Amino acid sequence: MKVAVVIPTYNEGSRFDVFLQRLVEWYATNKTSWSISVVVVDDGSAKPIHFNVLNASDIDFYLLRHRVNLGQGAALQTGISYARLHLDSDVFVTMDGDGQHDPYDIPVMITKLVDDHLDIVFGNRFLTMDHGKVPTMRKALLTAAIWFERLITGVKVADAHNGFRCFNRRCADAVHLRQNRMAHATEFKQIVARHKLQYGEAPIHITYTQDSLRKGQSNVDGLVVVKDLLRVYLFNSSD
Amino acid sequence: MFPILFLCFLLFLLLVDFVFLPRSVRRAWLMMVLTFSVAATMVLFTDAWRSLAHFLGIGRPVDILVYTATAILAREMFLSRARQAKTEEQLTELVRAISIDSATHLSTSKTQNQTNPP
Repeated sequence: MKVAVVIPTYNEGSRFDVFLQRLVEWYATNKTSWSISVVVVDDGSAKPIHFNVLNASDIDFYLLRHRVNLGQGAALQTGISYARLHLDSDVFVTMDGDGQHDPYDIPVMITKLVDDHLDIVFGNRFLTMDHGKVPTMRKALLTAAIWFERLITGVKVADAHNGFRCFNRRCADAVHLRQNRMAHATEFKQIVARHKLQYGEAPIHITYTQDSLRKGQSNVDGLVVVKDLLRVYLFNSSD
Repeated sequence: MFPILFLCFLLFLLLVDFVFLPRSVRRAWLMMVLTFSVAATMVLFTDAWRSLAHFLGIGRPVDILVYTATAILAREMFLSRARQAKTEEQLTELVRAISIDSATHLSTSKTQNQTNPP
């Protein structure tokens, strides 16, 4: 089975090095029959990305670079398109490159996808023991986002705006993200609803650091997401 | 006094733009002449405009301009956002195509020679 791990990055710096190191460490210590390709999409970072782990791994790394910063949604779509068209991947995993997501959760996601015959599995941070570690403001924002997404998509998942996902070829063929920025997370659920894809959730671990929280979505970005959803609904060409 | 000053001001603007604007936007300049002409009639023929305002059920003649301008500005804003969204979509597709075309397989450090996705 060909697995493509798509990682959008933007000015991640040392966070990305640490994340890649852990990804390589996971693959080395948990040999699977899966063929893993990692597609890194640099979304116009000011400084070039360094892959210090290349020689230490037999993972295939691919680097795609946006000449200008477009947003995480756009970077994800670029990576998914590349893996779909040029790597002929069967399973697609999307993760953030800032180290919040743990590569050791990849097998959990893929196993859930395959064993339950699902089209897409969403990572759920609240199914793990890390529940209490979610900052209070972030938890309140996520709760509002969960109910908002349920209202507009009908997709009932218990976590929102979690970039850790795993999906099959059928889902990848249906995904054409028009939300360039953070609202792509809600757009994923809209796609699931529109194409009647089978979905589920798997427990994942998220590590919050001051650094990742500062760079990640702020608590007012929820309003920006709503504005972006409305903007694309009103003005962008339909599929 | 005000009508004369106002008309001089409009003429001054038109003359400056006629001299300094490039010839390629001459049609836009003519459109400006037309717009300014309507504004000029408002100060030259106030009674006629007042009658028109009363006929339309608007209190003051200037409100005709205010309402019309508001509607035109709102329409322009929406059209401008639509054009912006289209441009952003095209930019995204362009940047994506370039990045996929120049993708690098790092394990072998070779640039993939691939065609654009369909």
